[in-house]
Amino acid sequence: MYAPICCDRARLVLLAIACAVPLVLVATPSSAAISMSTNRGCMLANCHGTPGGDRTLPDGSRGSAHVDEGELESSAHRGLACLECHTDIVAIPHEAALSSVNCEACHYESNPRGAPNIDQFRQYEESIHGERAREGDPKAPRCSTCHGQHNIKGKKAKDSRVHRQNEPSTCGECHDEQASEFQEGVHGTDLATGNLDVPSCVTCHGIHRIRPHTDPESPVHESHIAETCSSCHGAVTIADKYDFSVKRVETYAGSFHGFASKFGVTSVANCASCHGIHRILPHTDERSQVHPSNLGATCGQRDCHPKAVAGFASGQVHLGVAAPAPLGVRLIRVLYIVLIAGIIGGMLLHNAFDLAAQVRRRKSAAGPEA
Amino acid sequence: MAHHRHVSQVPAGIDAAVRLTGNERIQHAIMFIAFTLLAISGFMTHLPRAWVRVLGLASPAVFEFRGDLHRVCGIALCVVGIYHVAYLLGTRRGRWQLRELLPRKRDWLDFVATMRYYRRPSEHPQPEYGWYNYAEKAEYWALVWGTFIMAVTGFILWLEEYSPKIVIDVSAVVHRYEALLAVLAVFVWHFYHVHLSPEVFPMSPVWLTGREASGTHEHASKG
Repeated sequence: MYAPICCDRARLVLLAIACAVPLVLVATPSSAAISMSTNRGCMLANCHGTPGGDRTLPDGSRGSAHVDEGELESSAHRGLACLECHTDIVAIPHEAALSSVNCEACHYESNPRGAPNIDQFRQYEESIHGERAREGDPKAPRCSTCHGQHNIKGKKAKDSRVHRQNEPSTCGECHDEQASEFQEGVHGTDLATGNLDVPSCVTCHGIHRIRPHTDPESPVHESHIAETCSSCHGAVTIADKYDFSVKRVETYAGSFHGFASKFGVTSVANCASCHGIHRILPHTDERSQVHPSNLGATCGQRDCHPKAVAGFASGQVHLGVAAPAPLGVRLIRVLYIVLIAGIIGGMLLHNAFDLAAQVRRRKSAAGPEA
Repeated sequence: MAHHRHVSQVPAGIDAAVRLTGNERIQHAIMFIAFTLLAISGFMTHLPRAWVRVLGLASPAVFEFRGDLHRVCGIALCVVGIYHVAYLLGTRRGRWQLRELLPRKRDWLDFVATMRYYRRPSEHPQPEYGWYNYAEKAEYWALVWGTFIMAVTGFILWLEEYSPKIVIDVSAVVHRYEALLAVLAVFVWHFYHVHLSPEVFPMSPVWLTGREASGTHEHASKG
């Protein structure tokens, strides 16, 4: 009887030790911290280590909780421990519904780790995205919506979600219609070939402080379109490289549309009214709003010149840019300059003669008396 | 020049001492106000963007008001212009003024004599001009021509949807430069003769009283 008892006790102890080891490794905070500082604890096969699986996800659904460790290690955050971002994990297994990562915990001004920061949180908060997030809109983008999560990379990396070339697809996840229009346009097709001189989404709309186009603060508000487009189309360096003329911006400013827009009138045409918004195409493209065959319809838009006669929209628009201005216009300009110089010059001369004669006559009249 | 006039043969019933009757002074006043407002509301479109902001004009309401004012004044100038034509043809004084305003050979001779006088005032006397001297006649006909040009191009630009683009473009250039010419002519020519010339400085009272200031050497004889 003795031996079996002894045997049973030994077996119990062994069983207890066998059970305790994984419990200690996994469940106690101290041991968890040790293993998770190298992410090994999180990357266990049945947790985040392998694709597939059936786990409760933060939104309550069930599916794979896989985190691609290779992706994380090639990201800007390589070498960081899971817990450095997921700071609300205090025990394993952790709650399914973790709170969102607080990027500001590292990316604040003069942070000791040297995490990039250019006061962009403040800018985000002023944006329409930040505004919607504060209102509790579940669709409102947060940092990771645009920058990515475990695959986060600096904007210069070609496979970064915020690399210039990837903006249409990143922004297009929400703004799909605008993104596909952009990709059909000349800017989009050029961007797709890797040309980084062309504007991407943020070039015109702004980056973190993005505002809706209806906000007068937005660079794409009607009152700022000409300014925004001219930052490239009025720049000699870019114009020379791509062989277009900066004079288009000048001729717009000198037109009635330009005069009115200078005073803040938004009902007149700006660049986008004629050239299109996201799908901007060259005037040689038949689909372009400014192709000669479409100009009549473009100028004749309901809110613009619906009663215009056929010839209203035929001929040069930005006078003297692509070709010399019409002969009539040039002749009259020269004629008037000559006329004004001659007539006003003659008048000034005549005035000077008359004044001199009057002065001399007064002097000679006053002379004998003195 | 304003003080050297010699008019023979003033028809009976016309007071040659009156340069501008009340009616004519009202015509001048309407034209003067309309012209000034037209020039301001027209040329303000050319203000640099920064000035528009600094002057507090960067508002659509300002621009709309500017446009309405420009069109109202344009119509006022047309109306007073048409009235003026009727006045010239329909009244005895008007018909006489029109005859006096027509260019004639004597204007050229006056001009040559004036140039001679300007060159050696001691040797050549200043000529006696007619009721209107050549400077006034030139200004008058420039005003008639200019008003006509501005009205025609102004209406083309106003009713732009009814014209082909080339007509609009030409009208815009003409309207712009003719306006510049008109404003410069007023400042250089008209202001000299009615304000800056020592004969009238600081201002000829004709546009207010209808008569030259006392002490002017005006020679008028009825014939």
